[in-house]
Amino acid sequence: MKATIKAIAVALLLGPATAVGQASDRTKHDDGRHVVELEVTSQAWNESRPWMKLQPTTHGVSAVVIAGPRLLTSAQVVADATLIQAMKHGRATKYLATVEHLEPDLNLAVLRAEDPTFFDDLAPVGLAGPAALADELRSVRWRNRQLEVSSSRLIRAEVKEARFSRISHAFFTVRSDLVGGGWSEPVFAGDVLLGLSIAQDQEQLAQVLPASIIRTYLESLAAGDYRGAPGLFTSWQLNRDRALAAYLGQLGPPRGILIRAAPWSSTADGVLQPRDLLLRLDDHDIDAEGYYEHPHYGRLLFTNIAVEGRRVGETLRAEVLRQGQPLTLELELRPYSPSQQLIPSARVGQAPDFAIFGGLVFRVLDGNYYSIWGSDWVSQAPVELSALWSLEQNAQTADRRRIILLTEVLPDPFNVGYHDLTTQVVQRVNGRAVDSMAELSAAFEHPQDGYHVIDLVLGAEKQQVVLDAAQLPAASQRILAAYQIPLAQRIGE
Amino acid sequence: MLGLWVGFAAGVPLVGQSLPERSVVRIVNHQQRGDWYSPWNAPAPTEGWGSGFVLEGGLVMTNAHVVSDSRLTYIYLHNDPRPHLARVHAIGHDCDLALLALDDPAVLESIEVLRLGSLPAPRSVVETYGYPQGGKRMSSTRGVVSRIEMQVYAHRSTASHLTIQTDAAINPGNSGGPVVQSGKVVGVAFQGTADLENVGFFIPAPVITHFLTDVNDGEYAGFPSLGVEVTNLENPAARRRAGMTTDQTGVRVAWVDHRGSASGHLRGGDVLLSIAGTPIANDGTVAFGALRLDHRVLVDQHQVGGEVALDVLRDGNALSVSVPLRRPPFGQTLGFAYDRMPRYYIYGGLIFVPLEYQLIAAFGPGAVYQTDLLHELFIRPSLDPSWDKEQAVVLLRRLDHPVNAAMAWHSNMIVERANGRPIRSLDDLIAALEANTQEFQVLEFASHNRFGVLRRAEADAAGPEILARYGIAKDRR
Repeated sequence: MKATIKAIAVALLLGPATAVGQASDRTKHDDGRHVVELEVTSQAWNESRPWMKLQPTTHGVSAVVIAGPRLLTSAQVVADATLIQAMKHGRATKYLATVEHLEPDLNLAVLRAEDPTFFDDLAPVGLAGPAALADELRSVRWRNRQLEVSSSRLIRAEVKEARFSRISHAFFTVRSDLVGGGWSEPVFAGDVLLGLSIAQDQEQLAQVLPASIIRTYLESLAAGDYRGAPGLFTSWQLNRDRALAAYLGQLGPPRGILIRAAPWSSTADGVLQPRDLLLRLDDHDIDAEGYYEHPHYGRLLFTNIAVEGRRVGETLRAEVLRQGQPLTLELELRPYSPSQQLIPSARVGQAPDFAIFGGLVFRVLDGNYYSIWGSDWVSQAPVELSALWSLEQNAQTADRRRIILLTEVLPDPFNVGYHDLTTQVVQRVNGRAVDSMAELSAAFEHPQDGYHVIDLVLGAEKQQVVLDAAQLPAASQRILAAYQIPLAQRIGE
Repeated sequence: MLGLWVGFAAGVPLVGQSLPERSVVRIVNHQQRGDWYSPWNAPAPTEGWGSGFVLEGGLVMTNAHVVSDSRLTYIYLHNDPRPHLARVHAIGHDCDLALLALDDPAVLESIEVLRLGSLPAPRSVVETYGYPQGGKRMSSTRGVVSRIEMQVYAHRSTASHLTIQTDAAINPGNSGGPVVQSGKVVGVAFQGTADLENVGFFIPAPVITHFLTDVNDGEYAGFPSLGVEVTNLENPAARRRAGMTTDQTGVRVAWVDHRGSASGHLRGGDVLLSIAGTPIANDGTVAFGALRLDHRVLVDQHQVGGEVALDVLRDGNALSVSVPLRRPPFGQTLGFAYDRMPRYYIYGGLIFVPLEYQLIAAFGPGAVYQTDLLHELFIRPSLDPSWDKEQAVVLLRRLDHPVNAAMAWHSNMIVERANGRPIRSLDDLIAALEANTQEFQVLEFASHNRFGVLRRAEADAAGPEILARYGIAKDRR
């Protein structure tokens, strides 16, 4: 794979000129050779019945041809794919495509076509460089066998958090005539790709993942040294308050932002400290609201500095004020994927781990599980779970990597007394603290004096589950059969 | 019911008959509740209606929720258009009962008192009397005792007590009216439910008797509580592991509130076998006469200050303990608040209040989004062994002013420390801020290392101006 992906880099460098701002005359461009339609059949997991999947659905989405040749699209449209078929030039012939690399943190995916001749009459698109923002843009997709080219206009650049991770980088907000977009439609500036549209609201405002982010990802991938998407990932607060700045020993008008925490294993872990004032990052002054002057996009939140054009392993120089003393520190950029969170914000393209012992269903608490209460889960989920998210989502440590839940009990005479238990946090199993599904499973191999003892904790509803260890294997088999569950556990971590 | 009204309309002679309705009164209460979001406010009074009945001793019994937060209370006797001034003699918000005394006790001298009966049997017929929907003419309904169980009393919403469900119509305004069987009061109508049709609830005689006994000494102490969480022992493996013999039953003590009655007497992991000699089943129920009810009904039969005998299995060994009974821990904080105005303290335009359930309720439907406050109030005290607050303190919001306008965190924040001192009550906070002589007032909040700073001299100086600007008379209550 490395060899083939490396070809992407060469072609990127040799790609079309990266000028933007050319007139939006559809006849001048050859968009049809850069844009293909993907028919993606997806099937997400049933988060409350983790051994099952939901009904499959099929969507038409877009991808662009990149060097390699490969296809580039957003991770969100292919993460749960069971079948991807590519079509070009508005023709019905379908070519099988597969995901070659999925990067949920940046919401990007690289695809290959099973039939290399698919690319014969297609051409890779160049990526827009760091030029001034163009007024004349166009969003493009295939629909009903026609190439649909919609006039678009850039509204602003602003920093937002990525869809599946805490990476916070610049996005473009583009107003487009394209109806129902947000399915990875490319936005072109002249002959080059400005970005991919990953969301669009009812006012036709599209959120576009910019080429500058795509470029670094593809270059690292092609170089064979891709180690994830970097970022700073600190918790911070504004430093507008003169009183607070003075208390922290800052003279004159407040500037920089106040660091509150650096998650364990993230870039700033062990380098930045709570109550540091971060004044400059990579030679960019940070103001008291966290903004810096981007050379092309104007004022942006400082978190973009650690992402745009950056790779994991590079270092950034940080100037801080700590207890009134100026310090210069070096930050080695690291990724901070959802897997590094105590409660992963998203699990993309992976099946949920679970284990069933004696009818007790266990799983990891993650953002996907919250989704069973709908988009307004904050108000609908048990307050104990909402509080865990609010207070401890990023509190992963070496000794506490995950929160394990007992989600339900499949009723059987063996587990009588516990049938009403739902959504309980597991504290210990057979006296062992468990912070992974593997540990949970291992703990069930060590019953205590003939009993399995599961200590639960959730608010004041403390509960202890005691099961007969000798009877558990037979009961488990009986329960799985009775409830038509094909496997007792899936543990991938 | 129809027969009663037909008879009345047709002029059936009533003189000389002993009819409960003559002892039933209509109550009009002008109440004024505090404003927990703007706690210095004295909101407009509102008028509420309810029912009551005349008891021995020249007192009128009604529901606590009929006469809560009273500023002025009248009663109207049956077929008497004249209002008679009344005042709250005793009130129990946990059991939703109250006694009224009249300014002119002679008014009740000619009124026949109603006497208390006992717990009515399931499926027996009861009659209710009252003034539903604020009507000025009495209404009577009839139904059967549908169910007897422990249920949450909605007025305070902190605890369950014995409750009777009936299909006799009980509507707003019926509250406080007597439920009568064989000429005696067997209950007080008090609440309904939107979840069930044609269902009302009344407070049964044992709860009324408990209340009346309690107030005999002139002070209401309330229902006691063990202050423990228990879980069932229905699973045979759990019973065996607990060391129980096959003829033993009980529930497992999961958690003992260090502020509660059982603290120092029970431990987590104990098996509670019996209360006052009555065995507890593995599902937590006990025999109560001919009924099976939640075991807490047995604790309810005791008064605060009394003791209850418990049989316990600890590490396989049987032992008996006698537990002095206290009020439930934080009964005032974890339920709706009545008959008091909210406390607050304003410093530098920052509004600080104690964290209590009534504050959460002030957020209305948005309360469910106050995750951090809900966690601090309901979850953290039982999860965090080091949590030892008398009452958590919230920076509720700010009154915008240049001294505070740049603060990053200024609403719904739990104050953990002020100027380095742990904050365990509103008084702690006031002392920490007012005793400080340093240049800055430093507030540390409970989560995510959030904190805020005021310049003390500026905040001190701005205080009176902020109060004047926002029309607030005092900086604290």
